Amino acid sequence: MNKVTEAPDERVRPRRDLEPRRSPLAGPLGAAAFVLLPPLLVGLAGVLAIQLVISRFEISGVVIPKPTEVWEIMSSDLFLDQVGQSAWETWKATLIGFALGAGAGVALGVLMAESRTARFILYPYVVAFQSLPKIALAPVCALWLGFGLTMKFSFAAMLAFFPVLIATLSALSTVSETRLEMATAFHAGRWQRFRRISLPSAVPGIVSGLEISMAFALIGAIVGEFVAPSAGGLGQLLLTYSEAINVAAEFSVLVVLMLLGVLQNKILFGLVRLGTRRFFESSR
Amino acid sequence: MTAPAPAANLGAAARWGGLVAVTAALLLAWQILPSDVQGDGSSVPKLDAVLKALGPSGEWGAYLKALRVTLGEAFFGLLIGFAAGVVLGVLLGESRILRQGFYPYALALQALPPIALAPIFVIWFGLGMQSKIGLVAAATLFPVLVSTMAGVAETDRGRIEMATAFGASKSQIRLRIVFPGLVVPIFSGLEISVVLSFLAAIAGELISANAGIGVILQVYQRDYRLAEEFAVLMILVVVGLALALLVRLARRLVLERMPNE
Repeated sequence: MNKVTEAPDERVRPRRDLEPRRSPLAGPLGAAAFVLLPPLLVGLAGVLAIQLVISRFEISGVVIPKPTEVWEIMSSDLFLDQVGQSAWETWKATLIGFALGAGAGVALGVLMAESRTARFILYPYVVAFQSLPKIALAPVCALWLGFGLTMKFSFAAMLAFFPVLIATLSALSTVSETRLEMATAFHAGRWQRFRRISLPSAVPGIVSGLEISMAFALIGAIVGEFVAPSAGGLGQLLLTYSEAINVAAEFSVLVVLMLLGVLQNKILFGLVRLGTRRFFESSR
Repeated sequence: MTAPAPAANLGAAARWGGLVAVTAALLLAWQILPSDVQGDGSSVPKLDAVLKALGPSGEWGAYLKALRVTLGEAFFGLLIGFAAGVVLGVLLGESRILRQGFYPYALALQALPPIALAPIFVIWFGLGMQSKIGLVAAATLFPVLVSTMAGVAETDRGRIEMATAFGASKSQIRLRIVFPGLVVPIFSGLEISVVLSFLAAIAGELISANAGIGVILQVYQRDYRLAEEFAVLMILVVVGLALALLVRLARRLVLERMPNE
């Protein structure tokens, strides 16, 4: 009998988080230093080590460019001009593709979660298509859709579609049955149950699907640029430099691509945080 | 759930009927809609042409040879990426300072699509299988690393404290508590990595290679042999499904063999 009031279950203990919880240094400045210092040190040490190894063993710049060379290229006006233009081309295709693909993914995920018939009919196709390495479709896509923006964002949309579809479906199908039953007992309609119970509890799952989808959309746009030789964008720039065997410039583009990937993830997170706050406030 | 059995059966029948009807409609559309003219740039091969390319008269020699190359690259690359991912994941999971220092770079590197790295791997390892193996290893490392690391970090602290109280050594705690708890997260990472391994191998082959699925897809497209191209895509669906099933099966076997706590 007493067990109920005794010490809480072990699993309730705070788990060791992936992020550091508290900085040993005082103040907000100390906390920031605690978070930023280790990666900065690792980055500096890595760059220094690469630079030293390359000049010590005289490794050809074709194999690995010196960090100083990459920096020189990245800070030149010509490169910045080119890369700015290309990055925008790539991101435009990514955003259009993400909007189309993720929108369709959420819609279909909701449909499949709410209707057993739809789930039964569509699921085999989803599984089959999911197991196809979609990159193999790139040549066919280029054949149908030409070599421009349409092909790029269509491919981005196709890659963005699946992660969020699966995430939406699984998030909506793990909603607490008791809460749904309680809502039914209080005469909540289907829409009300969806809007007030299913959707709010599925939001975190859907958001993590959106995150993967956005990264996939960027990959899709790049793949499109690689396969369609006149599509422009960062992929095209990479191919051009690779044909010229300008490895330092290739690395510079890769750095830009990484930054773009991280940046768009942060933007998505910011928007989601804004959006969910309003959503939860309005549903209260 | 015993009372409404007849109604449920009726529902099941309707659903199967729906599935069959939709599939039949799709196949029919695939047969009727595409035009006969091949190579006009917009055409899809008719269903019977694809089936013929998949039949005994199809180019199975070429398909299988390409598949063997691609699967070989995927397998060896996955082996390297998986091993490195588990080791690095345990390291980063156990040391907070290492995790803080290296994890941001792991995340940033993960944002690079395999296809964008392909030209550089060709410079490093040449046109043969090695460059694709390297690419696959690089692509499959991260999902395994991330899920292993999360598994280590999420180990139940209470159990570790209890074992310490009972005088267990660090290595005993690792062997008995931390590592067994990693099986599930490692498999969920592996599930993603298996799909990625196949994908990265094909991505590498699309950029430059002398054999493999990516190469014959491009050859068939260049020659407007779309029936063969679609036949290869169908084979890829089957192989992809088989790979996913294999991982599931392996997970079930391992979990069954594991001693229950």
